[in-house]
Amino acid sequence: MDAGLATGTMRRLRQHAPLLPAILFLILFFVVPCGLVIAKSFAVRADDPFAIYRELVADGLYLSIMLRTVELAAVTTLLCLVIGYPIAVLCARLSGFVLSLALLMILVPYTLSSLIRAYGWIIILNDRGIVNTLLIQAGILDQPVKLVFNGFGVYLGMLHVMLPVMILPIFAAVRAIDTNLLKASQTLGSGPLRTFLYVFLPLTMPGVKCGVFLVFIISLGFYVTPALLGGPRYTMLVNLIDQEARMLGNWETASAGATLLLGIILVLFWLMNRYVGLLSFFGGAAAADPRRTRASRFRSALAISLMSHIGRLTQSSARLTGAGARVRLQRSFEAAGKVAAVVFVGAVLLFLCFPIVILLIMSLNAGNYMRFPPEALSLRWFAAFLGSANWTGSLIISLKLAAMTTVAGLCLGALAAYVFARSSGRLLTLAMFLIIAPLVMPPIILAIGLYVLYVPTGLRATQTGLVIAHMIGALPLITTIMAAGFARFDDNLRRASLVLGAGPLRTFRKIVLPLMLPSFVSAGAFCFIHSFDELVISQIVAGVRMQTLPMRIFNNLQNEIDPTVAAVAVVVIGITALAIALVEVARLASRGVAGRQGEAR
Amino acid sequence: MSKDRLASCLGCIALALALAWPAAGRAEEVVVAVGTGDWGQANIAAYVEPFERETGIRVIRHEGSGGLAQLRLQQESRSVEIDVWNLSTSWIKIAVGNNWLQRIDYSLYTPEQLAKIYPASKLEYGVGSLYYSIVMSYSVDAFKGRAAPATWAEFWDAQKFPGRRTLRNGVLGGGVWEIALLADGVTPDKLYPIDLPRAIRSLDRIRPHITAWWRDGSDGQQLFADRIVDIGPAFNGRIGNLQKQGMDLRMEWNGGILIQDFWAVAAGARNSAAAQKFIAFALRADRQADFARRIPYGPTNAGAFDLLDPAIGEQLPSHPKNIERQIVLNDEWYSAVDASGKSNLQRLNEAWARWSAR
Repeated sequence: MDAGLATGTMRRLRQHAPLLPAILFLILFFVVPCGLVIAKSFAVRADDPFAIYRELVADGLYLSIMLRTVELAAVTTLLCLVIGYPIAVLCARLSGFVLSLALLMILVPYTLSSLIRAYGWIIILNDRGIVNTLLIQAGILDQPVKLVFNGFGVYLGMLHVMLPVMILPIFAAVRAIDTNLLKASQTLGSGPLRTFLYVFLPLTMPGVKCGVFLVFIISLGFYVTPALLGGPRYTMLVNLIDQEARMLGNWETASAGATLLLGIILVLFWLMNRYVGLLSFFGGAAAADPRRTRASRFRSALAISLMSHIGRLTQSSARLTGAGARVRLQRSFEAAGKVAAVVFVGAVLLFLCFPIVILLIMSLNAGNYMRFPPEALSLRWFAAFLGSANWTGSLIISLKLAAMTTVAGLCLGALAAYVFARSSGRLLTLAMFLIIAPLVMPPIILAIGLYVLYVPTGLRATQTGLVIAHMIGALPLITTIMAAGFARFDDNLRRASLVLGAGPLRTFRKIVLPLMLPSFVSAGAFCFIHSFDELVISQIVAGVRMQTLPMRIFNNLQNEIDPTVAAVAVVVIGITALAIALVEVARLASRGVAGRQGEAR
Repeated sequence: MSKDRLASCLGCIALALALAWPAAGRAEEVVVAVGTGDWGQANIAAYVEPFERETGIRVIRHEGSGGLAQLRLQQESRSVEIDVWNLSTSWIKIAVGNNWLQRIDYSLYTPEQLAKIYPASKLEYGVGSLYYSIVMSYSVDAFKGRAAPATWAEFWDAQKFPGRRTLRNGVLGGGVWEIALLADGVTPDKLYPIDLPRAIRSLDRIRPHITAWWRDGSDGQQLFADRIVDIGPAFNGRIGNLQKQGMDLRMEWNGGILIQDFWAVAAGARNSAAAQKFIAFALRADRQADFARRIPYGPTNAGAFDLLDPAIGEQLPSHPKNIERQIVLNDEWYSAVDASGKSNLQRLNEAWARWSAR
């Protein structure tokens, strides 16, 4: 019995071993530093460790602002889902050059710094901005409409930031669907609606859940966009935490606020995971939770009865129209639908790229301000950027940090994701929460904790220290994306390779890497962008002699808003576009591998 | 001598050289938070570079803006990186309360220099670096053919003076509370302590007429540069920048809020002596005049005005004529701490968050 237990434990240990590097890394560089800071919130008064918490709850300010924060994140998620789902489905039907172009237009705006983006929107949307001017000149309006410094501006800005994060996972899920299933459903007599509801939708759910999860959780931490585009009413919880810690140096209150935020979000996720299986895209872990089954049985019963009602309704309405008319109606519907789809996709993609076009034009402005339309054209701001050793030095540092973060982050994240996709259990759910947690923690709290940890270990003001800091926030992104990829990966291929005598390294190089290339590349891209854009922690731990590109952009925007930052943004976008073009090449190459694999079968 | 002994001897010599060489070659240096943008450039040109030329001390320029968090972290971890800090008034008070700063060495200043520095600028733990103002600014174009508001009470009157308005928001800063009370008829001598309920009632009245709120100076400047707003309080330096570039904007010094920034030296700074020397240098009349010619922030050493063209001097916030017309922000009141341990600055910040979320 003992021996059996021991072998069971050993087996589980071996199975879970790839998770260890990521977990140890996060315990050392996330749990410990944040714990150090949060511990201070309990040590303000020796007799009453919960003094600050009681004050915060009684005060009501933090709670009401937290509610507003959750509301903003929820509405943003809903908007992204409603617009992003059809876009992802429609884009998944594209192929070749058009598909590459669409993906480019979706991904590239994601790399825009949120500060620059917000200024761009203000310039575009204000009462005298281009949108209002055009509408008035066209005679559609006689008075400018308020498009910014209100809720509209906030949600437009949030939608613009988050839409790509929603579209990409759903897109991946749609592409992975075996179209034979849809054909089978149609052949067996289901109409398009039923096929969609019973076959298509459930198959895309992992992507939807992944997108909803990422958008919701990232939106919770957003504060630059709402504060700039919405004005004082859109103060978020992270605004308050950041002000307290950064400006007042009061991390007792700040970390108490962060603890409340973390607590509420974890409870929220626990509930969502239990009743909606939100985290099931992570792989087996959540799906196998036995406590979920009763709720899920109830849910599916409800869904089935609802959908069969809808189905019956459509069928009876179809019966009412004659057969000939039905065919004609269907054809005209199809034609109209095609036009509508093209218009819709085009409009959303243009919306995503619009600020980039405006930024490009503003960066060519000869005058001293970001202004649209520009007074005269010149390349002086590009010269100012590329001719300044400070700016190019920062660009090079940031590229280097991002490259190192991506390589190191992919190693840890891919190993962890592999375990999540293969096995399940309560411990794994806990590990999952640990890996997600950095997305929820306000970065200023982590920054303070890391500084405290870095000084005695000599990591402060070093590149290693910055890479570690960037990896912490990148790991949740990498693990989420890679886990979704590994869930589709046939592990027997890996085993076969090992059995046939290829060593682990060779198996990785010849089997795992080529098959998983798209996941590696998209996880790597998100990781790269995260590092390339990270500001708060870098500011605190980078020391006096190192300035990353986001730090320089931030400092520049603090004191003047000249078009250099627009030029910087354009150059960064150029680099990103190039990187994504490489991704596309990789995607095509991997399709080649998949094709060959299909032939072998 | 065995080979090993030889090797270890050589190793020792190499080690000694490696240790001694940089120490011998290293010139004296000091790390200064110089700031960024036009202000940072002016600091470098008027203070840092002349200081390096005159003393031979190398200045490491730190551009970051970690705020009070950075000061506290460096102090608590005893790893002071930045020697000379540039702190706002309320930060000075918090820093002094925590023993994060060292005393200013006034023995380095000439008696003539000391006599000319404004009394309010000579603190035990900080010396005023510059004065700036939040003044009512407006686009001449928008008020062509009609009077522009001249007081905050008139600014509050949106019927009589239509126009797109802006206000500075109340996040961790002064200005908006004082302006709201002045607009409501409170006289400058009765401003402090701030009557919070009255200020909020006053803000309630103007809120529907505000097109956009600003916070950092940059966003305020952008609002005027892009003609998103016509009128409102703004930092005088930002408006000065726009005027220099040909925008037809005007400032009203009456009722402006005058605020001071300070140089300070971190406790435990590695280069204390050079840091003190740098600050004394930056307080020289000729240096401050040079600075003011580059960016319209006011000297704290009145001697600078003797060296400046009166046309420039009169456009500076701390010109004696302009000081009279403005309200000096009361740092003492802002940093005063109540029984619960909260400063008035913190209380106002919370009041702002509560009001703005409504």
